[in-house]
Order: sequence, then C-alpha cells, then structure tokens
Amino acid sequence: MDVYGIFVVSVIYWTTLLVLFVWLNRRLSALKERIAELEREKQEVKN
Amino acid sequence: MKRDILLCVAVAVSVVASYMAYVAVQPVREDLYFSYTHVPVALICFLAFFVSLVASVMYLWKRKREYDRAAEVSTILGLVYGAVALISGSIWANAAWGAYWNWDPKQTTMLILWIAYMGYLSLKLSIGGLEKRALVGAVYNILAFSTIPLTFLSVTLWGSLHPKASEVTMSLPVKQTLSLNLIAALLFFVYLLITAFAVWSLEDRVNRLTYEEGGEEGEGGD
Repeated sequence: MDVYGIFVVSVIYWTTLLVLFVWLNRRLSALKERIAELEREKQEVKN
Repeated sequence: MKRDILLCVAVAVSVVASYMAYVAVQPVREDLYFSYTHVPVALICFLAFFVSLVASVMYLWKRKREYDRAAEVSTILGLVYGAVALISGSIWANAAWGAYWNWDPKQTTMLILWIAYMGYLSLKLSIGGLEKRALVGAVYNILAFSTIPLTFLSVTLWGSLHPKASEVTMSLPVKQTLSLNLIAALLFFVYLLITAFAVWSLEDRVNRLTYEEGGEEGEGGD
C-alpha cells in the first residue's frame, strides 16, 4: 500500500484548508479594524 | 457565531471519519484510502463551480453586484479544491496506474476545466469597468461550465483508466466513511464560502468608505 502517498494527500488537503481558514480569518479581522478606523475618522470629520 | 458552530461540527465529523478510516474500516482495495480525500475534494470542486454558475445566471437576471461577487468567490474556492483534486488524483494515479500523469481523458479534461476557470479569473482581472467586468465574467462563466459535463463524460466517451462511480465496489463501512468525509468536506466548504463572501463584502465596504472620504476631501479641496 502507498502509505506515503496517502499521507502526502492528507497533508496537502488539510494544509490547504488550514491556510485558507487562517488567511480568510486574518483578512476578516484586519478589514473589520479598518472599517472601524474609517468610520471613526468619518465621525471625527463630521464633529 | 453560526460560522464557528459550523466549523466545530465539520471538525467533529472529520475526526469521526478519520477514526473510521484508519481504525474501524479496512477497504478490500487498499488504494481506496485515497478516495476518502480525493472524492470529496473533486465533488466539492464541481459543487463550487455549480454555485458559481448559479450566481452568474442570477447576476445576468438581477444585475446585483452580490451575485457577481458570489460567483467570483465560489470560483476561487473551486480552483483551490480543483488543484487539490488534481494533485491527489495524480498521487493516486501513481499508486494505481504506475505514473503521476498519464494524459488519461479524466486527468486531461479536469486540467482543461481548471485552466478554463483560471481563464475566468484572468478575464475578470483584465477588464476595467465594474459593470462590464461582471457582465463579461458571467457570460464566460456559463460557457466555462460546459467543461464539467465533459469531465464526467470523458470516462465513457474515451475509455478512461479512471473507473466509473458505478463500477467501484465498496463495502458498507467504506461507503459510510466516504459519506462522512464528504459531509465534513461540504461543511468546511460552506464555512469557507461564507467567510470568503464576508471578506469580499467588507473589502467593498472599505472601498466605499475610502471613496466617500476621498470624495469629501475632493469637495473640501475645491
């Protein structure tokens, strides 16, 4: 049995999911912070 | 919060599926272990492109930017899943057929499909106006979807080494494990799709806020 191949396929699959998960969540938090910052600036300009 | 619950359920299902795959279930053909990853990934890839097709059709019908964005996000995820399906398929091909790449009809049509959808992204990046980009992208996306039936039919049309789904004999525990892996992969895909859509929506909002700010500055400057 190609145990090495099965292991490599599993590593590729889970690494891809993990990278997507981490990247999307980091991007999501960065954008939320940026929106809060922009809205604060907008409010300051109005005041 | 709902996304977190979805993620927890997906992880729990994968843990159970892994347990079943490596401890409880012994497939008759040992290379069927590859199917636990390759089959769900390939099916999710097709599902992602189907979601993208539906979103493109909806865009042409309703002309709402959200549909165009959903089509784009789904295509990107489909391409990622497609790449994993191609790589895992090649590794399985090496174990079962003796070579990573055989120019088998299934492998070749899958590669054509992947390139066709890369073309969708390239096309969208190369067009300037938002409306025009969305419109041309939606039409191209509908045309690109024709490669999916081709991939399915390749097995019967050109005598592929790739087995037909109906020809593969699996014991009940193997089928159950495969189904669990499929459910887990589906839950992960839905989670990633929702998160990616949220990211793209927030990017849009940032652009709008920045543009409004720029507009105000511009007005102030005048």
